[in-house]
Amino acid sequence: MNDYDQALEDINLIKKIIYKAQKDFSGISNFFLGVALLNAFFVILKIVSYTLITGKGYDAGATQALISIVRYKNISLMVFYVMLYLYYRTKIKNKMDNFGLALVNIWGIIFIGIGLFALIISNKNIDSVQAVEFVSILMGICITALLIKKEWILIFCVIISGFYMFALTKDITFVVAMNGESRVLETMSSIIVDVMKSLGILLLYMSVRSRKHEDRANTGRTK
Amino acid sequence: MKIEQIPEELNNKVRLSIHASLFTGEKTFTELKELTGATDGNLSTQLTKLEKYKSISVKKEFIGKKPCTKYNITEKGLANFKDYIKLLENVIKSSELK
Repeated sequence: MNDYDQALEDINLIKKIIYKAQKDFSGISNFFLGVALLNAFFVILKIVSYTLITGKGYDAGATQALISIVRYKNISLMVFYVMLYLYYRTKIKNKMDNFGLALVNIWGIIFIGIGLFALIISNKNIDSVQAVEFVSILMGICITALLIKKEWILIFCVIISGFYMFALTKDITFVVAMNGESRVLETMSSIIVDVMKSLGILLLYMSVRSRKHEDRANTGRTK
Repeated sequence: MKIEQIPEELNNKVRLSIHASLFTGEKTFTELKELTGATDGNLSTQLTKLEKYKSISVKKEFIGKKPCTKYNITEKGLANFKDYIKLLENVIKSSELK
């Protein structure tokens, strides 16, 4: 065999193996875990701040500290999204995983886009920020579900969309904290968006992980 | 690097396949077996050799009560593999120009 034939054979072998090995979703699943934990952290902070308002009042030091942190949520989330995106983009790019790279780019655009929109709009129109967040994340979850062949996630999307539409049309609000005469209200739609950003993305993480394990299990059966 | 100077680590189809598999990230023994199509014995022998050449690193873990060995490519292994791909590309390009 001459050098050309050997080179061609080796290149084809390398291409074939890299293509087969690209079924590994571990990089992108960790990206989802990072985003879900980040959002869950801010949801927990919000719940704790409501508890403190009810228990200790607005003026307590701890309440004020937490309210300040939650107030800067948008800018903090934006910084974390950019960091997470750049870290996983580089990591996945180094693995030459085109599928994972496409997914991380889609989600990078979604989260950084949402972050920028929230920063620009700020407190002027919270409802429109929430609507953009909801629609963008919903679209992202649907695209990812189709790509990883987990069509049942689409059912989850339909159900949560139904709840969201219902919450918007009925304008349902809950009292989440009370202090004397004053009450803190939270709309049902904003609670749904928080659930989507934390539990929804966590569900996506678990689905991508289970897809990876299914591939391993299939591998075992074929041998 | 010239084609006759291929390092020992890559001068074998199974070892080359292991490099290509680990290039995309950490793999278990079962995953490597599936990707390379090698038998247990041959794969095990080649992995031991690559470990000796310091081209791969081995990590032993437990998933539940089951032991699980995971393999990763080292900096040295990655550099050799990238050099080899460049060499292959040059060989193909120069042959096609002739």
